[in-house]
Amino acid sequence: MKREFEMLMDLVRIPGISGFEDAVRDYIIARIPSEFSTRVDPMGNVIATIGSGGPKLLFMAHMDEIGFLTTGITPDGYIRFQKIGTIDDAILPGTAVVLHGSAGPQNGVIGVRPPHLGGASSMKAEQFVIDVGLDSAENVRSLGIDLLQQVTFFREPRMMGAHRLNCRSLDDRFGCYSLLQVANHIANTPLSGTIQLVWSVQEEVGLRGAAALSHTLSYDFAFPVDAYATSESRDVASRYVYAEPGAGPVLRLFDHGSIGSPQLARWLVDLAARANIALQRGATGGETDGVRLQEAGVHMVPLAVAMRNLHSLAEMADLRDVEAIVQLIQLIIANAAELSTLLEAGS
Amino acid sequence: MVPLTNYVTSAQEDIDRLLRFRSVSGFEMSFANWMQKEIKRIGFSSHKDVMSNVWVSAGTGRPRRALLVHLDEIGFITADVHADGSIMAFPMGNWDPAILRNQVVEVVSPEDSEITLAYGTVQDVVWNAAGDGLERIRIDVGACDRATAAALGMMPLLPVVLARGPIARHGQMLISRALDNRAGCAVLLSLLKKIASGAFSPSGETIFIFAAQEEVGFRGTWPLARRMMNVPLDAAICIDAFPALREPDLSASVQAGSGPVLRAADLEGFGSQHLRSSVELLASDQGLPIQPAFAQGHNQASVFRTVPGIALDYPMVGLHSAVEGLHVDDLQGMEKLLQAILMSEGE
Repeated sequence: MKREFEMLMDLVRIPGISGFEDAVRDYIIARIPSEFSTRVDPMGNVIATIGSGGPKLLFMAHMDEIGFLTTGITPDGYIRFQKIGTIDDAILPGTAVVLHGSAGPQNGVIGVRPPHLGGASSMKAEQFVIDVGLDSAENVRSLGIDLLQQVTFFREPRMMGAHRLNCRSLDDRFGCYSLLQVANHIANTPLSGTIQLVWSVQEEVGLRGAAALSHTLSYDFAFPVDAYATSESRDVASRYVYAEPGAGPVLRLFDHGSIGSPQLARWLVDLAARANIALQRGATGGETDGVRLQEAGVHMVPLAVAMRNLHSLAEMADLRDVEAIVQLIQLIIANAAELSTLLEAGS
Repeated sequence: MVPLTNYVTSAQEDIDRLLRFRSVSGFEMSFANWMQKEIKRIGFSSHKDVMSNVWVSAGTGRPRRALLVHLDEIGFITADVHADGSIMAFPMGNWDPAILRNQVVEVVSPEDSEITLAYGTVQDVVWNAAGDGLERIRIDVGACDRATAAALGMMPLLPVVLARGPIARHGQMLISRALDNRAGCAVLLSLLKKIASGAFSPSGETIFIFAAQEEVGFRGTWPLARRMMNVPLDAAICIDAFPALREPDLSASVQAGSGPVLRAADLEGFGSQHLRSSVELLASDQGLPIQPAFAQGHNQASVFRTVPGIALDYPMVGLHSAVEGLHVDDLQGMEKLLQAILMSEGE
């Protein structure tokens, strides 16, 4: 793996479910170049601004990940929890998790009924509990575990083949990483217009960070940087457009919450072609922060990386796509002056 | 056959012109561009935003009312070309899977929605996992492999509509795809023509809004509502379609030919009781029949959260199919009612 991806490895290891983004935010703020004007809004979104005048470009990645929140401890030492974000119940039984209590991380597993006793399919969602290997609530609390603490999937990042990275929270730490890379590249570069790099909070629970920002920030073009849910192969019948990991960034033109700007998409396709960056165009499920950003009445296209096994501990992305999306964002910024024509044509 | 009045003949021609455009949600641009030209031809200057919403203002002062219709229609978007040359497409808008098998469809140019790239037939209809909605359709365009399909211009992200020739007249009913909401677009254009010719003068200011992406969650209306937050509105009136039957039926309160529907309530709530009462009184004074009804749906006026809103609907037989039916009396009744509303002094 290339040395430049060390920062991505750091980011995917930091726990940060929705509402608990503090550690991710601290890591990011410490690495934003001083040339940017950086602030944190009351929601916890990080906004780093550089340049001046128009056009105003906004790139946004979200800091939060899906996970769990502790909601109860049973007398016999099991921990009840609530899902944070969209997680399929079917993947929960037998899953290793990490509880982030006041005394540091503690390992746990979501219990599974073995096949001998009926199997996981015989369990109801309300029967799922976390087992930390202790037999009383008192012992559990002695580990610093209490109510309303975050729990994340357990998965150390690991490479599969030469290019594909498997880890929890790739959605959207790859986006956070990409914006940090871009920040470092453009810090001392002449710019056309204003560039705002935003690391948002609470995307996984209803795009709440972006909703707040769409009312307080001024921007002409919005580019959420997020994951694109793709199936394991083109041959698997899927409702939406298949995107191949390793075949380039994806313009996520249709999803459950938004339709990307066709004019901006056309410009992006042309721009990428001029720079020989392979690009895919897609439609998939889910939503991005772009839903809220678009409500400001601006051109918006989500820039994405095809991701397999999305919203699980088996998330997998191709690092060549991550490199390419960083290049694409830099290319957009370098050619921002061309976007003025879209603004003129918009009304 | 019942002889048509000049009004209905003219209205049928007007709607037919609008049906040339295949305006699936997200692909409204060519229809919106035409709409701007048409409004200019009538004598007004309109605005268009990046979502392809078009709006035009007529008159000045108070009351200031917004009339809302939508440019888009339900349809499909191609997702993939299978090895056997068939095309997979996912739905845009709310379809009943039961009506789709063996329907003829048109795959349309994304750049110019008047151009048909290929005709096809719906070979398979796949219901979603819950069994209560449409997942995708498979279309046969006469290709036997990917290369042949590609030669026909087939690729992901093309709009698809159910094929339908010019508007047909069955007795008192006009039949076509997409009467929802071309009938609404036509009545707004007709009102603008009348205002331009001096046939009537509206009281105060009227903002005529032709919105995009209504069928996929009012995504065009949200940015418009934000844009108009600083323009105090006294009323927002949505003109849309309401499912109806030809004959009275115990299960349906709305009948084609019995006048426009005044929504008493829908899933957005009760709207403005005061505005509703005013319209009921006005209709009674003018001798215009209206039908109060409860709708299992939403309406664009409700997006203007702080503005008194109501929905007036065309009763429509076969709503969201290739054979939507509109009674000529309702067509005329809606225009008369809207004209009376615009001429009234207040809400």
